[in-house]
Amino acid sequence: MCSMENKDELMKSLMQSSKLKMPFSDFESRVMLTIEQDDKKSIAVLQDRKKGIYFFLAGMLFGVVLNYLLSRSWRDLNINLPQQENALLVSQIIYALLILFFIDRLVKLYQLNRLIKNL
Amino acid sequence: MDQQYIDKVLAGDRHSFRYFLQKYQDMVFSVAMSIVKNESLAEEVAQDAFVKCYHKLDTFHQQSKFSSWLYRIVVNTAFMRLRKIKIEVLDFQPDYNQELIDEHELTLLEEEERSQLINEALCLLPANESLALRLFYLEEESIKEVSLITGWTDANTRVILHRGRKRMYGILKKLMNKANV
Repeated sequence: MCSMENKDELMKSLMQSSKLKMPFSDFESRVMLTIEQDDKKSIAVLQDRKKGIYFFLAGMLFGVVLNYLLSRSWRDLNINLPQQENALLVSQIIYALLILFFIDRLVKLYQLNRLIKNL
Repeated sequence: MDQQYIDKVLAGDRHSFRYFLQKYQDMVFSVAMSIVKNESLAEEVAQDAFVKCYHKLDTFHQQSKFSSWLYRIVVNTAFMRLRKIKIEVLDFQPDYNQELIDEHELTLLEEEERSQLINEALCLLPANESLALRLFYLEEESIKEVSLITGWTDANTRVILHRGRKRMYGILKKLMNKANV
């Protein structure tokens, strides 16, 4: 037991000599630079996200108005009813697909922000 | 003291993070070196670990010492880097008698020579053993803290420390014999 404790003391004193110094003098400034760049990236992504949401909402509103105006103008053009309904269906499908596409882009933007945070 | 600077960084003062860099960079580098055994890789690991630490500072809730939390990030980053580049650290085969280490001879060595010898021996140890030795004897962390940092159980930490100690003496003996020839 005593020998084990001696060995432990010896190991303790030996390990005190194992302290390493960071050999790269510019380490501190490089880490600070990386952090600064990450912060800038994060702010840019945050701004892009805000813009993304605003444009998405504006686009949704625009799509609803456009669909409404199209349906009214087709009614005025005296096109027969089945054709009117088909055209309306196509424009609504395009609208729905565009919404899905932009939701996907927004989700990716959120994920990018999280990725930068977790780097 | 650490907490004051954590609060400053969280309040948006990015430059206060320099305090952690200045205080911990040598030990973070030593811990990284224990695992990756290569200076430039260890420097990359240290850099990644500090950047991660900065971004995740808000998740530190003082459940442990700040240093333990930081070393855990370093350990995870270093092992992840090893897995990524698929470096296999060679296992040193012990063919020695632990009791035959000449303590007197070790104490007679000049400080610089001793430091070089010990760091060479640590480089030859498996990553987990050199890591455990550095944390336990150099940083003077408790078994519990070492377990917390590494994610091992207390019993496993004790076993790794025991093996590391034995192997370390064996390697030192071998290196000293080689130097004497």
